[in-house]
Amino acid sequence: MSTDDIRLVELMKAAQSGDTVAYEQLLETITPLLRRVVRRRRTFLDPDEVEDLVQDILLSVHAVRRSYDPARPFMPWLLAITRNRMADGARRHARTSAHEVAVNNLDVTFAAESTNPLTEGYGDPEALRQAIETLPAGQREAIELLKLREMSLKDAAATSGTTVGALKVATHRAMVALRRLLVARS
Amino acid sequence: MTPDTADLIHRIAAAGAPARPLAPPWTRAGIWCALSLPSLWLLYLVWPHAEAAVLFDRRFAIEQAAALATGLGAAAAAFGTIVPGYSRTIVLGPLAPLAFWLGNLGRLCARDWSAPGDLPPILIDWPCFPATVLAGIVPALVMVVMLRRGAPLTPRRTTALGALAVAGVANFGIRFVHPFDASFIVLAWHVGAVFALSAAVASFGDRIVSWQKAIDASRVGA
Repeated sequence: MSTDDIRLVELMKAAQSGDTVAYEQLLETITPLLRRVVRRRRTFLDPDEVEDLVQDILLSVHAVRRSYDPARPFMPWLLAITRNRMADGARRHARTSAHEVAVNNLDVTFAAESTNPLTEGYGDPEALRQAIETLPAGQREAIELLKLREMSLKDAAATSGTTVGALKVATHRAMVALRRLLVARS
Repeated sequence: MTPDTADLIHRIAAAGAPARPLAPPWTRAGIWCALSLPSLWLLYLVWPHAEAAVLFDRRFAIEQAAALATGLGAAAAAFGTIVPGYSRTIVLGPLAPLAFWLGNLGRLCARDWSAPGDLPPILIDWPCFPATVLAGIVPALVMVVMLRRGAPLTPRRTTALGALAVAGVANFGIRFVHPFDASFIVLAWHVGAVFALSAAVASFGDRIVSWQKAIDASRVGA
């Protein structure tokens, strides 16, 4: 076991016993390593996708941290998770790419004026704002993070301290409530 | 480090409650077996069964030892596949007892087949199949809970091995209730249940153990 690995083992042992400072130090130490590995092995990903994958690996490490045996080296454990998550990421990337077609931004699709409205989205932003204000706190936060700030589910869940599943449910309920409110108002 | 990642690290570390490391796979297989066997013992007590004398029959004892060893080996293999970096050779663990178990049954089957006289009708013993499945309920539930504590690196392989473990131990239990079955009936209904269960469970293994479930359960959010 190298000196670096011994240090990581010590940090991980402390993290498993609930030392949050050691845990943060461990995650900060491994993040650049993970980023390097992902960049080197996934050259087709853009920087944002690399960062998404690194974050995914960090969340995975956290989720299964009890599967690390302190009597064994740390790096093989970490790299096994990294390889597995990179393979998942590659499958996801391939699936997404297969359904995407790169096109230039075409503002006009049809010449007829009626098909080209000057504005997009909901017609009365003030009514929409008021409707959002009436939502319960959890649903309002879901709408703000996902629809107004356009955050990804992963980031929004991390920001709000909830789960992806709970956010999806809150967003769905919020959209149903908003639709009902705005239809009633109009 | 980008601000988003730095923030995520901070959140993860803040959620870093103590996490006791998992025991080694063979130890966990033993724990799983110890948690599962009482339900089989209960089944033996409530189900009409043969006299205890038959349990000391040599052929029966060998078959039971092979079924239990298959269950334990498959459980250890399943628990090994959820430990990142663990040697993959552990998946070979259940192969030898499984081969011995099936080989022994196959040999006895051939002997029954070639013996003079009529064979007992196979369909009459179809309740062996649901009985094996029933015996597997508690071991299966314990297995799922224990598998979800590890890393879902290979969900289908892990759940297939877990199902094989459950089926092996369930067979071990149910044979105390049906010790007199002819070998080809054992092969058809009891062992058939093993492979039907393993194949069915493996086909939706990624719904039983998955990274998304593990990350959601870790309460940081992803």
